[in-house]
Amino acid sequence: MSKFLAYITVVFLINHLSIVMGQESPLSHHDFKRSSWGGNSPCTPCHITRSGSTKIPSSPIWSKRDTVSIYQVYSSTTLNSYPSLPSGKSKQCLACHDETVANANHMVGPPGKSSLHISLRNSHPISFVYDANLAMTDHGLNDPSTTLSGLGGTIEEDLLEDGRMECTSCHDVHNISRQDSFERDNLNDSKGHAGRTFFSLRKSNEGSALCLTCHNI
Amino acid sequence: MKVLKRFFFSSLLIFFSVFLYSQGLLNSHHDFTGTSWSGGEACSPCHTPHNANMLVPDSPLWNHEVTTASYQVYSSPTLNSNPGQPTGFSKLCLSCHDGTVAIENHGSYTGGTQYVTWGNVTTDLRDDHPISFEYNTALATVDGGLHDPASTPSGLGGTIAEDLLQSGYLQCTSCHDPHISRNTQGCIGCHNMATRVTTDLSLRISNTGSALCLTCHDK
Repeated sequence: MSKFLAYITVVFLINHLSIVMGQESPLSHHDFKRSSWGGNSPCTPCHITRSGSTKIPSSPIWSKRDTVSIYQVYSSTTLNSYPSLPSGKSKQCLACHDETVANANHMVGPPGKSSLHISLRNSHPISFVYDANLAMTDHGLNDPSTTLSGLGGTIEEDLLEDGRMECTSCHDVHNISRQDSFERDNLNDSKGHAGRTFFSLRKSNEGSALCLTCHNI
Repeated sequence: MKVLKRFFFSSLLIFFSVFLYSQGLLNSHHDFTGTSWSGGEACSPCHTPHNANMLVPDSPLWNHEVTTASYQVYSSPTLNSNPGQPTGFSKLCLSCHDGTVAIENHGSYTGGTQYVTWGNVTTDLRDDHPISFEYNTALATVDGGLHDPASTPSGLGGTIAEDLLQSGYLQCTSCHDPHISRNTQGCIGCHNMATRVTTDLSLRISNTGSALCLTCHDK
């Protein structure tokens, strides 16, 4: 039943959001409508109405080839969580962002800009259970079951995928309500900061606000 | 008049007593949110979620320029440990606190002009507590004046080895936590009456009555 509902939702969005997203200026890094390979649709680079990939459970009618990479996950002597190999929606993000599966032969790049490679050791850990127990053990994390996310509900309700932290805990590829443009995303300020509200973040990281949603310092 | 005086000084005491509690990163010496070079960020002067600097093993998603200095390390005829060149978390601290790397140099930025002054330990560590040495049961036995880190409680919930050491090594972070600020000695912990210098030691454990020292040193 839930698969059917997901199908209907995505078909609805493909039909209606294409009108919203098909405006003059690109709205996000994931608006491929204007690219030569994008197929003049903001949705079909990632979604398909039929025969979507079923390799990742609950994937939103995925049109991409799935990555088959084996990853080196983040590790640290101060880590209290247990990151597994990337799971859920993180695997879909990595399908492009690990430089192994190309969008119509276009790799994510230039290298270092938003490519993460197969070694995730220099990136924030993902695909781990983030619950009250972890917060208690770590002493530096907010309890996700009670702490508000700033998006209307708790961290657990709004930011986690089945209780796990994933790429989508911080990033929202659709991000159509945010005003940042592709051009602004490429500008660093004079101190080397990429914009705080850029990179398709689910909420602004102004003053490290996104970091501080979960991290309790 | 006497009553007024008492009231005034008690109020002062109550006012300053708020500084006796340990506080978080914000308003500590490592709170750079108010500087122009940080972009208002609390975390990014030292940390980044992607493409972190991996020069120092086991560094926590590091975003600050890493020092390349060589150091004169602590030595003493009574020393039983064997400190080498700084490693691990100590190297990260020294990336500001040895005075060779500008504070603003983080991310891709290398044009900083501000350097640590008051907390500058320099590259001569002979006048500082030894760091970057293995502190284990064997050392405690040989030394005769150290608690066994494998079994002695740290006061933070676990043992010294679990709570204070980095992979069995004593580092700057064994005593200091840059994410907190702590005034451990009442008014004079903040204010030196002669020079009015404000100090902030970022100690993980209060050193009132030398309690932090005595966590490891058995005197």
